[in-house]
Amino acid sequence: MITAKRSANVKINFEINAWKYMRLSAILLVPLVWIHSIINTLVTGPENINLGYVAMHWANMGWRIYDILILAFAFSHGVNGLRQVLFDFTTNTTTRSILNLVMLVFWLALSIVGATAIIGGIKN
Amino acid sequence: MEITIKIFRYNPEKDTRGHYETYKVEGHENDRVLDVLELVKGHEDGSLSFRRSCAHGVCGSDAMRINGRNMLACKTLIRDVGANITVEPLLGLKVAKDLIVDMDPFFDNYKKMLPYLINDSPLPADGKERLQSPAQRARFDEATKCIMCAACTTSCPSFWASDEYYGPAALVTAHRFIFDSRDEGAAQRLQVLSETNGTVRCHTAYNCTEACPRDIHITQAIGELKMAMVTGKLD
Repeated sequence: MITAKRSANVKINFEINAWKYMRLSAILLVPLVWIHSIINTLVTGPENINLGYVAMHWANMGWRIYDILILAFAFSHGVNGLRQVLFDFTTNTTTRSILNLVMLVFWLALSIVGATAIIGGIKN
Repeated sequence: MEITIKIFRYNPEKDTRGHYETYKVEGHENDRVLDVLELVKGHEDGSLSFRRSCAHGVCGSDAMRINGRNMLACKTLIRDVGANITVEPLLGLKVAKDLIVDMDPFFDNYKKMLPYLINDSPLPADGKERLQSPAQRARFDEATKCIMCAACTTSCPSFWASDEYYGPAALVTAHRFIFDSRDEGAAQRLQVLSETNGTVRCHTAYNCTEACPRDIHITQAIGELKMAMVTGKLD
């Protein structure tokens, strides 16, 4: 009888990595979004969020890094989710490759715009 | 008691699209939906077509949508679904006639899972069985209960979107062999499962688990496959 631990050597592909990334980014998003929501809705209050508040918030480098992390994980998590939904309805390999490229460009473009805004900050 | 049964009808030789017909038959609350279908076929309309074989929940032939849920007609009692019943073919597969669907895409996906024992190692010294412990057998026991009725696969939203997705039943089959200590084909199967139409198309809707007439925890089995795919661990 075989009693040794069994294992299988599976070649890691893009889909497996994307699957892992969805889980990892989701775990990271839980504290990131909770802290973000608590500060903005309970501590500061939505009525007090204006350009001045954002300028003050981003004057601190720590908060800028924090917001970039939310942008990085939340947006990529969302875009990959959208990619998965679109893949449910497409079976053609070429269409899927095009969709991958479109999603990448969409994610990159908006991430660059968002990151530029955060890094650039607000000039008075 | 009078039972009113509304049945989806489609004859490819006459109809351009499906329609519903309603029949009223005398039955008993302990009758099964399959019995009511037999009454309709025997006494109301002999052209009604549906699959059935063992009529005892073992062969998996008579899976259909009963009041919107995938069930086996032979395991569903009138008293559990009421005297007003709507019976439709399974979703996601092309209707061949009335309640009969074309199962080819379902079995094509099944075959992709290499549904047979793969072991090229020499036989044990006695030349007989490849033994395994009760615990090793228990590891994949639940998956062996699958009767390939397709109730799970055709309840899956991802499969409705595209029958290229292997579907829950095929994944349960993969589970049955991947976690069998006598099998050596796990890497091949996991490689198939890691493709775009594999386990990543499962979005854990749990419809499959709810639909399974054998009470297999299908979503959990698919979760175990995902973990095996990522970690390579098979115990």
